[in-house]
Amino acid sequence: MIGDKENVHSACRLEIEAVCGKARATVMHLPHVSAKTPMFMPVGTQGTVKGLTTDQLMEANAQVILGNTYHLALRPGGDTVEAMGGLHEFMNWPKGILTDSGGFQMVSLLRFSSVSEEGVHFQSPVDGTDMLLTPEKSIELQNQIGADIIMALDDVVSSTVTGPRVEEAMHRTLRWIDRCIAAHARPHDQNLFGIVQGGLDAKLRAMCLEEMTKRDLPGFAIGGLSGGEKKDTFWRIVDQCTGKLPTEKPRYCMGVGYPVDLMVCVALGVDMFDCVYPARTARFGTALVKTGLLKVKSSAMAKDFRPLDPGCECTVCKSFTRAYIHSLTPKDGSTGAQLITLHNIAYLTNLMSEARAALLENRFPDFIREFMHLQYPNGDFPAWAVEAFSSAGIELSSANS
Amino acid sequence: MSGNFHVEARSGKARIGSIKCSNNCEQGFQGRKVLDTPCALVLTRKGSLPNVTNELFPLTSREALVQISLLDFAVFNANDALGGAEVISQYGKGVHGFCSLKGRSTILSVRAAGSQEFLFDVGARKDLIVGELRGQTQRVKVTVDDLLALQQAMSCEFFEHLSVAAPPNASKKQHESSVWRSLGFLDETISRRSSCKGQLLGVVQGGFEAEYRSLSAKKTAERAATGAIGGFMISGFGFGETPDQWETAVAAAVVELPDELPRILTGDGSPERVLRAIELGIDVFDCSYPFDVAEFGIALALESGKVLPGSAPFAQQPFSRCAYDLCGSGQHVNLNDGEHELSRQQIIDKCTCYACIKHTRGYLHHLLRVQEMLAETLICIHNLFNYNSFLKAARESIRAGNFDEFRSNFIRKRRQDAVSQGSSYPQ
Ligand SMILES: [Zn+2]
Ligand SMILES: [Zn+2]
Repeated sequence: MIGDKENVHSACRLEIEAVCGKARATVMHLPHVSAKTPMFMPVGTQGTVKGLTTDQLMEANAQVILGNTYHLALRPGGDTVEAMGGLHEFMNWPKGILTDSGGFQMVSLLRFSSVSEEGVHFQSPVDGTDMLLTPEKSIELQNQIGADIIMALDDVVSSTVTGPRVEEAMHRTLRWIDRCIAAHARPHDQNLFGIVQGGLDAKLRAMCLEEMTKRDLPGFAIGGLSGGEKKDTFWRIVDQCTGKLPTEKPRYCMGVGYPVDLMVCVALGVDMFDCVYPARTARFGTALVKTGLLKVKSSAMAKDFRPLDPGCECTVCKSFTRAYIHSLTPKDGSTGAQLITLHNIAYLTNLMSEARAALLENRFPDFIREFMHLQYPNGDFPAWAVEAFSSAGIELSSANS
Repeated sequence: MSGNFHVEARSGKARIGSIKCSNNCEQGFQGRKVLDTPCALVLTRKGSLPNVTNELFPLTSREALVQISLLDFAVFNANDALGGAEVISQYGKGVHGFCSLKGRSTILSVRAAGSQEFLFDVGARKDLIVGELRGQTQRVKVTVDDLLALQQAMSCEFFEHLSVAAPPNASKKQHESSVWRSLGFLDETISRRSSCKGQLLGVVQGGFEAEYRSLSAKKTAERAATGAIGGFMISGFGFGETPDQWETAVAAAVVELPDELPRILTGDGSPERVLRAIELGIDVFDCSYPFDVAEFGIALALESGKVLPGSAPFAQQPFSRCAYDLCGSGQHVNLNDGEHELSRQQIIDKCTCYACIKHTRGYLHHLLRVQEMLAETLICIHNLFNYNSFLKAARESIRAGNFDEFRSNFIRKRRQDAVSQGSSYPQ
């Protein structure tokens, strides 16, 4: 199967519009959307992004949203999603969808799971019976769900694990990708992305990159990061991967959602991101703003009549003040969390389109410097970010000179 | 007289009319706000429909007044010990600006629709009542001045004064206190309101005895003669009263009220009770019903009651159903039912609400099953839409002069449907 272009088709065409160092602005033509990258993809685990209507997501400029195969397979089930016309039709979302393989969810959410050559063994959280998710089953489920981009089942180990288990997982991920490719029934309208593993070990990453890129897949993801590893290691692995991944294919860094991390990855050449962070942090009353984080519950907000983020064009910022959102408590229902979630998603999609505009207008380094100075007004940038941007040819300090 | 209300047609005591809301209350709003009655006064929490952000409010029908609950704003921000009056007056754009209620007409209510929490008389003071905030055990004191300060800051189109209820089987003393202390609050409010904007609603109390209801209504109506009142709020329900007690109280109040002012009834707004209230001459009723049922995953399918030609008028049904007995009602879709799993139908055929245009029963069923909050948001939007369509049909039947038929057909149909649907709610 390796490199067998006859059997591996692509339903994705990548148009690179601008490049600055490794960073790039592209248009990713997918079956349901021509997505402008770099882009942030909100997570809609169970066929809905926390409390938001699909029109609100459109207004927040979401282009591709994420569905979790594991959750959808449990409820309503792959057969039901398929019978309802696939996930796009089921949730009435006309733009792009990406589904994960389900493997990560099992390993991270379930206590009783284990991995063998066959697949991921787990106990059904519904009835406790022994279940097995094989690469073939994952792809079958994702074919039923019908997303624009589907992910290969990989052998996930936590990014903080070291030793032979990491190497084993890397090799198994490579064996499984071929099983995924073979099982994929809809290559004409669904794009199977391979996932580069190898933990934090540069040698293993290099091997995995070498082998994975031999497969003519429509796109590649960088997996196994965002699990609590040191930022200094994180960016170097991303840098290593984007250096080796083919430029003409989309690159997706999984699970990254903090604004500074996102900008570092964009500078290093990543095109797409997903994270539950904007919705999760909203539920704790935190809004993402140009100057960092805004704790909406803080009593300083009680009489603050500015929008969450002055200058933000989202519908929440156009209509509501910090003081109003501050006054909403759980006993008033879910509206407070809904409003902050909507703003947070709009913030991240907007951050991405600003980065994109800067790339198109050939002023990306200035944009990054301005972004970082707003996030760190005292100029106390984290050392890892300074180094990461520098390796991408962007010196943070020159904005002051 | 303010001339903000006009009766346009009648069918028996039932009447349709229109309320012109004085738009000097909402700064920057240019449009005319006219509401057709009978209509609903919909429950909000902190000025937002339950689980529907006001960002989505444009998706809902405009044919209703918006209830602003006093306690939500009196204890605005418990942690900061800030009152809503202080915050909103500093903000300076009233409740419409603060809660983004653009173009909506609001009533500042002392007691939220469907709630049973508020109003404890603390005795002799003529300027104070004590309430209990939703979901909290702490008691809250509210004075006439607190209320006026809040109204001044919020600029609701209408506001209600403080009053004292008498529960069923209350003593003579409690009844008298309910009537006279409520009037005392009214007089106090009139004399202290000075430049406070908005139409004051006179509150009719008096428990469930015709004698006291009638007395309270008469005395309150006397104040209306001076032009101090822009409408009436018939209040004090939701204490476990029987339908007969309820009917006695409402009927005794309405007959004493002048024809030219709107009458607003508090309660929960269940369809049977609303139809009976309209029949007795009520114009606006506060309602939590569409949201109460949405919480259970129940979508309303109230029939807009085309009167079938040739159908014999049903004998006047005594109102025998407990208003809180949502279970027996029929004309709903229980979206929890497994039968909807693969349904690609909309909630009800031809419904043009946002939820029905966008989504299937199957999807809503899934959202309920996985406990996603979007389920309740969408069902609330549909329910409010359906409820308002039902009221629109009721208005049309009054205009056509056949409201009695509309009501009896509706009730009969609901009973049939309840039986055929097996009529049970989950849990
Ligand atoms: Zn915003
Ligand atoms: Zn509908």
